[in-house]
Amino acid sequence: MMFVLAASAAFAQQPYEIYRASSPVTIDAKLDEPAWRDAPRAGNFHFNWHTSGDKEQTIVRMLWDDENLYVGYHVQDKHISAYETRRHGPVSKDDCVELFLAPNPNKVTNYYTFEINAIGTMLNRNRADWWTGPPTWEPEGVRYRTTFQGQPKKDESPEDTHWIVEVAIPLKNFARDAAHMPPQDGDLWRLNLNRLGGRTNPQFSSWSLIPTEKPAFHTPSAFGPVRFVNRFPPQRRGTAGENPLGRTAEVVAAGRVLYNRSCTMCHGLDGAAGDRAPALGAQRRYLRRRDADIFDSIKSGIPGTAMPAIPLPVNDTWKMVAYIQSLRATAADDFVEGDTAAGAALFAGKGQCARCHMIRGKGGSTGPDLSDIAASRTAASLREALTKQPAHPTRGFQPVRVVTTDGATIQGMLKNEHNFSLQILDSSGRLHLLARDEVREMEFRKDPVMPRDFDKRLTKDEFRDLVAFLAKQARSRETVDEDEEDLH
Amino acid sequence: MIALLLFLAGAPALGQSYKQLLEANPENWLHYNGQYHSQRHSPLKQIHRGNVKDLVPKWIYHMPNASVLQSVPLVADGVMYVTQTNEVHALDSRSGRVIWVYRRQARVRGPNRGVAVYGNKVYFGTGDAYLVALDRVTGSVVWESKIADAKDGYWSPAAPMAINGKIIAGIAPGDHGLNGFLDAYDAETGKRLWRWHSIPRPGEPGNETWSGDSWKTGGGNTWLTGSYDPELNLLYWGVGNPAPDFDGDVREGDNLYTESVVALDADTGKLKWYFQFTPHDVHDWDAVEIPVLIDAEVAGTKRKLLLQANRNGFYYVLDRTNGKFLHGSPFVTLLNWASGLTPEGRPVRVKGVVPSLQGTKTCPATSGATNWMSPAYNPETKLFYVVAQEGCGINTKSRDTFRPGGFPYMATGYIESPEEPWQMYVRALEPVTGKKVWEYRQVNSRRYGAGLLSTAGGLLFSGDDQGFLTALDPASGKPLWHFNTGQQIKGQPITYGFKGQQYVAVAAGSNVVSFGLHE
Repeated sequence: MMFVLAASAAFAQQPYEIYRASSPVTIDAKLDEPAWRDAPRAGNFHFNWHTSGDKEQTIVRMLWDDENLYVGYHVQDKHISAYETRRHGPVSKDDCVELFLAPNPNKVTNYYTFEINAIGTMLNRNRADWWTGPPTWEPEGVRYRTTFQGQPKKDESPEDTHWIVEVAIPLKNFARDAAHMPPQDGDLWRLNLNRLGGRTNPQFSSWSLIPTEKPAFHTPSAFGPVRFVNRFPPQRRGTAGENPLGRTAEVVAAGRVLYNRSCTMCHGLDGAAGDRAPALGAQRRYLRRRDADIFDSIKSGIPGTAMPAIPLPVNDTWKMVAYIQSLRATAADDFVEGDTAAGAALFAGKGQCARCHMIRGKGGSTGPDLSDIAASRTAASLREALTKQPAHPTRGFQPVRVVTTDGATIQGMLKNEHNFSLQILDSSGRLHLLARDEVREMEFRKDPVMPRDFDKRLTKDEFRDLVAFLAKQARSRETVDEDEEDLH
Repeated sequence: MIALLLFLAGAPALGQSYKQLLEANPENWLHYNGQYHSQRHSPLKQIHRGNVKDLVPKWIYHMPNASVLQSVPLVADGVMYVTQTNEVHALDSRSGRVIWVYRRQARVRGPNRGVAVYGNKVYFGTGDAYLVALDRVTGSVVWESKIADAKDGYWSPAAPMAINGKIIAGIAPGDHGLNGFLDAYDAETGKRLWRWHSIPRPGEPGNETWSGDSWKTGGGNTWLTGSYDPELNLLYWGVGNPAPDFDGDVREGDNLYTESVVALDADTGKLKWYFQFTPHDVHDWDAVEIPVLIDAEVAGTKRKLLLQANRNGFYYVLDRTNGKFLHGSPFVTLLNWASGLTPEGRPVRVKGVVPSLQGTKTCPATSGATNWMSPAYNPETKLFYVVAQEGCGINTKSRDTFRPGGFPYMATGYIESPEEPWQMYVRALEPVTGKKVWEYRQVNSRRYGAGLLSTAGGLLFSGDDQGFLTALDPASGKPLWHFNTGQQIKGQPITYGFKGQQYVAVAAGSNVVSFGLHE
C-alpha cells in the first residue's frame, strides 16, 4: 500500500497538459467532437478513502482556446441519481462532479469551485483571499450540459452505465489570479477534479490524490498541476498532426481557397483530378502523408519534378496542408455536418438501410456491416456510395443465382469463390457451402442490389444527416481509445 | 465404401439450440472438448484403423501473423470457426475457404483457445478481456461485454462454453496476482448473470485459508474450459495457481480455491463442492486441466465420476455429485514432492521440496506432469488417455512485490533440471484404478504438445511438438498413421463431417490442417 501512495504522489508531479481545442467544441454533453477525441485523458481518479464497493472511474479531458477552458467528464456510474434543482443547492448529495481551480499555482488557497450534479444543477464558490466574499459566486458566461440536463429528477435505473458533463468556462473569470490572460504556453495552474454523491455506492474519488485520513476535497495543497500548451494535441492515429493551426473547419475552408487559387493548374480543382500532377485528394497512396512533409513540398518544391516552391506566408501554407489532409481524412476524422440523430432515424426508417446493413448488431446481413465504415472511408466516398453505382460489386456481396446438380435454386450473396468451391449466403441467412461440381448453373445478377439515388430519394437535409450519421460509425476507434488510456 | 453414420445434410440449418448442443450431431464439433463431458470421443467412424493409411491433408489454412496456435476449431453446420488472439476466422470446413474474418484492434495477449457457438452467434474472449458475440453467418459484432479491465492486466484466452441460454467465460492471468473468477453471461444480450470469485473475499468461507491480506492478490484464474453435467446442472472448472507462484511464505494456509476443481450451480454460480488437489501450492501447478466426466462402476456401484490428470503428477478420481475423493495415484514416475495421498486425497508432502534461494529439484517440473493438452476417454476401450510429461525442474524463490497493472507476481520460477531430459508420452490409464495400460513415447518431444482425440473408428489421434499428427491404436498405443505438418502442434485435434465425409483437423503451428480419406 505504501508503494501505491508513493507512486501516486510521484505521478501527481507530472502536470496534465491542457492542449488547444483542435476543433470547435459544442456544449452538448456528447464529447464527440474531434477535439475531445484528440485530447489526452487525465489519469485515473484515486479512491483514497475506499472501504468497499465498485471503484467507478471518472474519465476527464481538458482543452482550451483563447476564450474558454473546456472540461469533459465521462462518469462511469451504474447507479445514477440526482434530485437537487436549486441554483447553488447542495448538489454534492447527488451524483456529482467538481472542479476546484487555482489559477495561481503559488497561491492555491485562492480557488474557485464548480460542482455540477447529473441533472445539471451547479453550485459555485469563490474561495479567493480567505473567502471574504459571499458564500456563493456567479461566474460569468459558464456554459455546460449534462446527460440528464434539465430533468426534474434522475432516479437510479438498471440501464445506467455512465453520464457526461461538458463545461466551457470563460477564462476571463480568472483574470485576477492568472499570470497571463489568455494563458501563455507553459503556464502552470493547479486544480483538482472530484467525484462524489449518489444513493447507491457513493464513493469519494479525486484526480489528484488527497492524503488526508477522511474525505476532504477542500485541500488545495493537494491540487495537481496542469500546464497550458499552446498547441493542438498530437493526433493519435493517421496523420501526424503537426499542423500548428490544427484542422478546424475554418482552417480547412481557408486552405481550400488558397489551394484552388495556386494548385489547380496542375493538381486539379478541389484535388479531385490532376492534369499534370497527382490529384491530391483521390483515393490513392501518397508518398507524402505527414503534415510536415506536405508543408515541405509546398514550401521548397520537389526537386526533379515539375513541383515548384510556392512562396506563401507560413500560415497560408499550413492552411493548404490542412485542406490537403482533409481531402484524405477518413470520415471519422473529418468534419461532417448534419444531425446524426436524424441520420440514425433515416438509416432505420425512410432510407431502409437497416434492411440490408447492420450497425452495432442491428440490421440486415445482405450488405456489409457498417459499424466501422467511418474509420476506413472518407466522407466523399460515403456520399459516392449513396449516389453512384460502382463499376464492380463489393467483394463478398456479389448477388448470384445458382442451380445445384440436385435441382435446388439458391439466390444470395457470393461470399467467396474459387475454381473448386463457392460460399453463398442466401436471403434467409443460410450459408451454402458448395463444391464447384455441385453447381449446374451460375448466374451473376445484373441489376444493382443497392439503390444509389439517395440524393434523390431523400431531401437535401436528409441526405446530409444520413451521411453525418454514417461518418460517426467508427466502432474500432472506441475500443482502441479505451485501450490506449494513457495514465502516465 | 464403409457405411456411414453421417447425415447427408442439404443446406446447413440455422443456429445451434441448447438441445443440439446437448445431442451434438457428430458431424459438428460444438465444444472445446467435443461434448459437455469432455471425453473428446467422436462417434464418427468413416476413418478407421482399416483405412487410416489413406488419410491425407485436404486443405491447409494459414492464419496470417500467427506463431503457434493453441486454438481448437469448432465446426457447426459445415462452418469452421478458428481463432487467434483478437481474431475469429470462419471457414468452409470442406474447402478451407474463408467466409468472414473478424479482427479486433486490441492488445495481443496470450494465446486464444477458441470460440463457443450458440443460436446464431459465436462467442469468444479477447486480448483486452471482452466477451464478444458475433453473428455466425456474417461475423458482425452483435454485442460485447467487458469481462474485466485490461488495464489491470487481465485478458481472456479460454474458449467460452455455451449452455442453456448462458455463456460461461473465464479469465487470466493468475501469475500477475490478479484474482480469478468464472462468469455467466446472457447469450442474447451479453448481460452478466453471475460471477463466482475463485478467491473467497472476507466473510466468505475459505477466506481464512489466506494469511493476512494475501487473498487480495491470490490469483486462481480460469484459463481453460471446464465441463458440464446437464443432469446435475453443475459446471466443473479447474482453478489455477496461487500468487505469488513460488513464494508461499507470504500466503500461509491452503489458499482456496486455487489448485482445485470446483462444482458450480450453472443457474446461480454458487459453489456446490470443491476438491483441492494441491493445498498451498508453491510450484505453479495450475489445476485447470480438463475434468473428464464418465459414469463407471467403482467397487460394484455405478457412479458419476470426474477424472483429472493433474499437473502435480497425480491422477484423481472423484465422485462428481459431491466431490468425494475415490482414488489417486501418480501417472508419472518422476514425482518427488509428495510421498502419496491420504484417504481424503490430500498430498503427503516430502519435507524440503519447496522453492529455495539456491534452487530445489522438483518433479514434476512447473510445466507439469501434463498441462493444457486435452485428455480423452474412449467408452469402447474404457481407457482414459493423457499426454504425460516426465521431467524435473529447479525451482527458486525470492520475495516479490505486487504491482497493479498486470506485472508478473511470481517470486521467480524454474529451469529445466539438467539431470534428466524432459520427455513426453501418451499414456492409457485404467480410469478407476489409474493403472497404466500402455504408453507411446513421443520421441524428441519435451513439453507442451498437443491434446488427444478418440474416435469410434478405433483411433486415437495425438499431435506432438515435433509437428507430427499420429493415429494410435487405442488398445495398444501402436502407431497406425502419421503426418508431418512441419510445425509444432500445440492445439487439440478435432473431427467433423461434411456431406458424408469425415475430416480430422488440428491447428499446427500457424496453420489449420484438415485431413480426409484419399478419394
